[in-house]
Amino acid sequence: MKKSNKFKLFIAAAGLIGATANAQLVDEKDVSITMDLQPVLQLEMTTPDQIEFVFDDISEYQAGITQYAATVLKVSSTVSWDLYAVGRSQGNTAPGFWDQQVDYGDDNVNAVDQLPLSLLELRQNRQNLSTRLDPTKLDYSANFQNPNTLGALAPYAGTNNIYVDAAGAGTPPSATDRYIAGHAGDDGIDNYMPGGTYLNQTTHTSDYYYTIDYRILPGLPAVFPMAYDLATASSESVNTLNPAAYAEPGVYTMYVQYILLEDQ
Amino acid sequence: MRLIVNVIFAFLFFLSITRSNAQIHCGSVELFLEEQGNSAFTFTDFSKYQSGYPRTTIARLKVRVTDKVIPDNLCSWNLILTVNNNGANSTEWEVLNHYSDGTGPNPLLSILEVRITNDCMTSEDFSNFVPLSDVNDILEIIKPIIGTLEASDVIPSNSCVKNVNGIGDYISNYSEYTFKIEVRLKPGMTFNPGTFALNFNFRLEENI
Repeated sequence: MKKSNKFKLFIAAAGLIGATANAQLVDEKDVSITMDLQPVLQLEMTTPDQIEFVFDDISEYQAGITQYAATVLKVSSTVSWDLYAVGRSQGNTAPGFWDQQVDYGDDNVNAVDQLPLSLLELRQNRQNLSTRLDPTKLDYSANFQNPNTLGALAPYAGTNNIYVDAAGAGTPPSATDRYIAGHAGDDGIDNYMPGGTYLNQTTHTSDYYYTIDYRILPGLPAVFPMAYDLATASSESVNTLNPAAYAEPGVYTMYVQYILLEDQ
Repeated sequence: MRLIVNVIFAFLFFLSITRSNAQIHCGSVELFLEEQGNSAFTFTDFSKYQSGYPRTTIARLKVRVTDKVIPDNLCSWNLILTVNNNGANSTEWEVLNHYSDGTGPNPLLSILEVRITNDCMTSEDFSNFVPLSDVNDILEIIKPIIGTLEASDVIPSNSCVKNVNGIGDYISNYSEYTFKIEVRLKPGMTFNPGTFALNFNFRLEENI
């Protein structure tokens, strides 16, 4: 190697060494942050332990009894949700029918003790957001139908009958059943209520706050003409099969379950 | 042989030219981080979701920058913060796990606000809470010097003004060289439930 080349190499290496030592000074530190968003679903319900409908007057049989705002439902949720009501009983007369607690002794062969759960009608004070976005999605916001005009309803279709899960399988209502808020399925804003709370309410109404009215209308004779099965789109009045049938006097019970469910 | 020597020479010369662009002005820069309390935020009830975690100090940063043995009047520094979400969507938190089917939106970076202060409030941009927006953003706590570094760019310690960047340390100049890292976190109720994470990287550099 020539001397000149050795000199060039020396100069370059020296420059490299010197320049490397001049690297910009840096120091770094890290902090990790984690966030745990645990899902919270809260349904607050204000209601009497027992809502009683006592029919001891002819006008009550004819006009029915309505318990206005007997139940108040308040929702707070951090996730998308659906809210629905289910009519249930122990099924001591048959699944899907009211439980008979007391029989007042009418042994007429036409007096039947099987009163369909769907005779209970609900009305929510505010229309379901899903129904507002898509009117084909059903809720309980329609006014109770006037029994005096039932004859003009051809064919009659129930508008407020409670959803019944006769088999007790815990199956949520289908897309053709009624929801108080949200709806079946999870695709699209018209199928769920977004997370939120009634505590943020800034107006006199809120999609997170509902009052529920209850109506039972026995009719005369007591055949419960408003009872209706949405799944089969047919009347469930007591005299559907036997025109001479009527409800056996007695004490009957059922219960309403309100279910707040994460939409998924 | 001559060709090889010339190639080696050319390579070393190239390296020496490129690397010698990093001018050193400081003797050392050191960053000390003390984690404060807990940087894991758990939301289990509505009051937390509604009100969030207000003003939580997660760490304190302490800076020490020394001059060279032969003093250089250009020794100065900058401090930046970058956020890493491990490759998730640039505006979202990293998902560690979902508690449900995860069909909703994941939390956005913007639910996290950061404030970085010291007694003299030397940070120009972060003396108040600032929401994060994108992991590609570089958050300049003490701003880097853009362009040729001049002696006038160096703001000495003890001046207690914005962007103090001269030599000094957290012992002698506590009010300017100790930074409190505070966060505020308010998730609201529209995001997927689950566990999420972010990483803060604080980088102290000398200005060149």
